[in-house]
Amino acid sequence: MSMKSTKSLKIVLGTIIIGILGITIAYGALSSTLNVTVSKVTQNALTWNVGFTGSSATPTSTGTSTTGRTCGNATITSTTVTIPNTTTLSKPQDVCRYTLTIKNSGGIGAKLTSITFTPPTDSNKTCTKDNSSSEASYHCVIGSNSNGITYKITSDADGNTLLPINTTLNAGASTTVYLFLSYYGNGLNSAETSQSGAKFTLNYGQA
Amino acid sequence: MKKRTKSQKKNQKQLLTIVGAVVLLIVGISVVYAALSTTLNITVGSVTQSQMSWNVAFQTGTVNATAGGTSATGRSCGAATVTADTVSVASTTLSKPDDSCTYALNIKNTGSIDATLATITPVAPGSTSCTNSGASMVCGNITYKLTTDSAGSTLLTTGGTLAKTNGTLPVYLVIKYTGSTPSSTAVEQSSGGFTLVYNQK
Repeated sequence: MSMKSTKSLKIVLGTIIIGILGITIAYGALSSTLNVTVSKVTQNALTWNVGFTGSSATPTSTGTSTTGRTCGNATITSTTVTIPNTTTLSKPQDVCRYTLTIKNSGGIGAKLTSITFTPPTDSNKTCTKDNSSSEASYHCVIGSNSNGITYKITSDADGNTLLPINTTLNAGASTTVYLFLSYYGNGLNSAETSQSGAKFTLNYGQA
Repeated sequence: MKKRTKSQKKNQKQLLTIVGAVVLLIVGISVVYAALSTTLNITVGSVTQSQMSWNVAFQTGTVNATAGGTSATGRSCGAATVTADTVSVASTTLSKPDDSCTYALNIKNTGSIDATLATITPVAPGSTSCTNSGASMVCGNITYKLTTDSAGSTLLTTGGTLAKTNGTLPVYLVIKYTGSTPSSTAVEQSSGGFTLVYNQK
């Protein structure tokens, strides 16, 4: 091969290489970068806190004489109210009424979504709902007795308005509810009876 | 096949990163939303209904009257038969001013609940017009009264407490001729009296 031919070949290759590089570079420039940028996402400091206030509740006792009637003080935590085992209601018109406060200390509105009554644990009890459209009032008798106990939770101190559901408790607001334990029946018991463990459960959700 | 450049790969990586962050953000919001609820429980311990009894009644037996007035002429006091809830006075004759028959009765509370006298209701004799004032009923020449004293001066009133267990209230039924003159004809009055209602206190 002559030298002249080799040199020419080299020149051609270099041109081709340059050409390819140039084409490649040009292809790489045919694209766009799109950026989606979220400047700032803020999460406000919010709290959820619905519960009872206070540590105890002294009941209001009503009826005729105090004979056969005892109303024990309730113990309160943020999520529970406990009525002691000392409650005695023995004759018509005997009532123990507890005033309770529920507060929404959080930053989000709350709503009472449901009320559930759990009957006493006694095996021979019979509980009857007092209002077909509300779970807030039941009376329970033991065995064949015609007299028993009414359990009721209301929004008024007179006990006339059963606690309604789907009511909103705004952030920072409080509401008062009343628990009534009362003698059910017009007569007297010829023998002592008792019933234990009845419970109301109030469920609050986000409004 | 065209090779992706570094910038293309970087862009894709950025896109995936953004999508991943958005997905995480959505999942995070969902988890926090489901936790916003509170259950409040109100539990009642034991509620006792004590044995109780209700028993307010007359002390039973036969009660003879104490007669009052001047002479016994035209005056006779029938005996009172007393059961737990009724007093029945037999035929009585009062014919002149100041003639009276007074019956000493007892009302007892042997139950376990205090009682209170809620109402006193006079019952007029049949076909007789009477004027009532609490525990006093005046029917023509005859006055019927319930009093708390044997002299017949203090009328029985409502509101008093008859204590449980053994509370006793002495009550006097006084039937008296209070007209100023005798009647020119015989007059009879039948089935006059009083109704007392005791309630739980």
